[in-house]
Amino acid sequence: MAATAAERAVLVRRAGGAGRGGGRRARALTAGLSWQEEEFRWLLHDEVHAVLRQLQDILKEASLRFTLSCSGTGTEAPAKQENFILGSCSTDQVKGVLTLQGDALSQADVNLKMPRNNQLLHFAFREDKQWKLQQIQDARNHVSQAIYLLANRDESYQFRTGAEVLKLMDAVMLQLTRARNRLTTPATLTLPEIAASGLTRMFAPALPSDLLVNVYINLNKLCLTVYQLHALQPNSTKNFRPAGGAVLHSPGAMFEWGSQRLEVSHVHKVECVIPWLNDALVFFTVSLQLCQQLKDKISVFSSYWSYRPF
Amino acid sequence: MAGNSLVLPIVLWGRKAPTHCISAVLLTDDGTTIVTGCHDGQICLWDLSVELEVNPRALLFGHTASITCLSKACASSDKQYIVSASESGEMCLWDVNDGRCIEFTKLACTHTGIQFYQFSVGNQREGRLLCHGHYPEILVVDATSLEVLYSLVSKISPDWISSMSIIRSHRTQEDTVVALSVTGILKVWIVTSEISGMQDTEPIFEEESKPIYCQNCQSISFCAFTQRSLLVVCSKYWRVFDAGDYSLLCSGPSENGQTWTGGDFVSADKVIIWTENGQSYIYKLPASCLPASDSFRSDVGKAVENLIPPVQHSLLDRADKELLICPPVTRFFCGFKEHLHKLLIQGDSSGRLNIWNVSDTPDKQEELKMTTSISLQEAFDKLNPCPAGIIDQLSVIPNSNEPLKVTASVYIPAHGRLVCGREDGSIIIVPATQTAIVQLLQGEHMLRRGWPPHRTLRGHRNKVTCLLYPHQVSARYDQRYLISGGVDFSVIIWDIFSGEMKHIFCVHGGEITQLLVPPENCSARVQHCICSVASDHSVGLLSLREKKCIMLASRHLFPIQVIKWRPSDDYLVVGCSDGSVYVWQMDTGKNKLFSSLSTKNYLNVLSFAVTVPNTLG
Repeated sequence: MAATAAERAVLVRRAGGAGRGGGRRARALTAGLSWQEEEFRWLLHDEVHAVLRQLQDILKEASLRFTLSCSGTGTEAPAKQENFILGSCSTDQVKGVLTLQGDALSQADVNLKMPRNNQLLHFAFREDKQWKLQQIQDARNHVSQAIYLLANRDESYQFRTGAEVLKLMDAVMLQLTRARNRLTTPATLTLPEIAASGLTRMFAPALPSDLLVNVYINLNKLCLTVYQLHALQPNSTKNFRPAGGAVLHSPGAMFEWGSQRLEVSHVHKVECVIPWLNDALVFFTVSLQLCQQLKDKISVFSSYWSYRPF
Repeated sequence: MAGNSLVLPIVLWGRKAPTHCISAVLLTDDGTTIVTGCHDGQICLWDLSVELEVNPRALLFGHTASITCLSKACASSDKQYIVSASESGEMCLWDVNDGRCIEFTKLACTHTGIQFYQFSVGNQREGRLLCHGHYPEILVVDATSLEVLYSLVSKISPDWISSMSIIRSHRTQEDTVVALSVTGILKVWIVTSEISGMQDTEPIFEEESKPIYCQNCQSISFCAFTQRSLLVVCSKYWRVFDAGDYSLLCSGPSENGQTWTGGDFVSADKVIIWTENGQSYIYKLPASCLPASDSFRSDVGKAVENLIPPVQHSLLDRADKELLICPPVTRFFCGFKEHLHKLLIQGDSSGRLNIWNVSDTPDKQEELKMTTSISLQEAFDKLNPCPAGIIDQLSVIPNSNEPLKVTASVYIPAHGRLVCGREDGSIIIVPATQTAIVQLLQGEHMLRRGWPPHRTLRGHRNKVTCLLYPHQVSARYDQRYLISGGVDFSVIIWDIFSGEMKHIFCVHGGEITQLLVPPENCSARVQHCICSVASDHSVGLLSLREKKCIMLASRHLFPIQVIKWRPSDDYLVVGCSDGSVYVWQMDTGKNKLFSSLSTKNYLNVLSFAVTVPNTLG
């Protein structure tokens, strides 16, 4: 496509071996470009690509953190297994060793010391059972989407308008915000939903009927919660109010399950930081800031024009 | 009082068409309406005539985020229902004939594709919507109530589904849903009749999971002509598979390194694939892909490089009219009734629809010309008389066809006045009813110059972005004050009766984006303030009484989306677009930062008086 008058002017200037310095402004004016147009041109042609290159590098690092266990490319290399010891500094009533493989838990070894009789209970996943942590898969997929959006926008791609860059940044930021939110906002489940979830049936020996288990990711931590329940007597004077959904239920929460009314008597929560999730979250934050700063720089010129091509 | 009064809203569009950056496109079954969804959440209905002339008819408002997909939602020919889904999880059911919203729901997940399907439930055929998106299953939704009934789930490597196609078998009772996951695994579900009462039962697991090694799949289509082939379009290549056993028949490359964004079958032996730039190519498939040919499946088992390549047949190019800010959306629609054409419809970021008629493609053809091309602005320009804006007759610019644009407005029912801010920084105050009459009714007033009587306030140097009449929101403010904010970074207090400029605040480093009124029970000092938000991510509390800024909160890294208040603690809470929450003390100007972790919970737990209707995502 033929160069616009502005582009031709800049090419002529460049070919003349013009250097930077005081004479620049005089030269720009004679070529027909105002200093604002020249600055915007620099922004669109040089700075944007520098920022996008940085973004691509950071996001590639982030995606490497989410090791894929099966990419469908033919090489089915299993993801490395990592063991995490979940404990709490205040009490040792619950201890868990969870094995994370990519986006799924391949093993969960839980030791529970019952407060009343100091009886030690031990549970582990049944053979070959895995519990998928959907939060990790979703975060990984959002990062892949962000990388795909940037894939065809390298140095050889010419951005014609500021609006195009803003739209691209909006799309990338949406995916990164979603990726981050998946990790920072675990699902709020009601107690019946936790009781009905497949996780309860994954253990051997089977979990007793007065225990509920839930696993989720909260920010950069893998969390295991164990709820101890007791049945509410039918003639109890307590006002029965089923608890709503929550990430973590408190003692006293009530619910109906089957024909019984149950109340949470104890809640145990143990957690462990997952280092690579921590790295990924830092990468998300840095990338979002990079995108926002680029958007702010482009928006400065919006008062002058939004859709003029360069 | 109850009455028979009916309020009909009327729109004064003005000469400039609304922006319509198209993100989804659909042609109704009867071929008479094109539906386009845009990135701002609006849906446009365009009438398509038999001669392929297009005219925009209506703009549907309702969604709050960009439209991700559109689908038909009804099988009968007398009702034309469509369903739309947005980025924020909203789903709406619309009647295309009159633009009514029939049903609305909001889910926690984003759909990227929806297809309509009819299940036999007992003796009846019930409509269902099969949805896939940013979740690892296919949701089956009731097409009338938009309720999620159950889902198609996979046991082997469950992951997000990137595209899906429903294969209707004419021979057996069983229809198949074929989907490709984001990791390149093909999944197949058998769907037939639903046992009534199945609604709350177990999810349905897949019949088959087969890796076909296709990365970045954009679309998957079943050939209705041969009932045997499956086209999978990925970003850098496209493939044809035998739908019987999913073996590879043919592979096509990318053209000049361009990225493919979708494709479909035009006929038994031709496919059309389109790129990110809006160009489309028609290819003729080799005989090894055609069931009718003797050499069908002769290439099965060979490596990709050894397959017989397709032959490029035609190019469909767009005539570059406007610069695009994002890739256009292209879709192929094939009507099976006699009078319906095979149409390639493309919608782009400038609000333009391009249509190519690919119904008869003779064997020797290099380039197919566009049949129709029209943008929303062109449709507006064609109208005679021009669509009127509310104060067009007062906004005439010498030597220009276009009137001065209105960029902000506030209606003050107590005084019967409409205040309009314009792109040159001027503010016009007009009597509301008389102004509307000028545009809508003919009469003597048309001859009077300078009608309706108006007052012009000049003070801003550039476009006015916000207007606020605080007394309307709370009676504690003086009736005289009118507040305006503009792109010149300033906030101006006007006396609305005398027209005087009372004060200019120049405290912000960016364009003013919002003007808000603090709630009733704030401290005495704050009660006489208004709150201003600017594009440099700063928030100011400007006192109308003291004529000075009593607090400027400016350390936010991301744009401010929502402001909430806790007067009892003297807190002003700022929610930013990245999910972070800043709590500022209005008295001292000190702040605390809460990270995105507890955002939703924090704003829910502390009961704030809401001053802005929108909420954090």
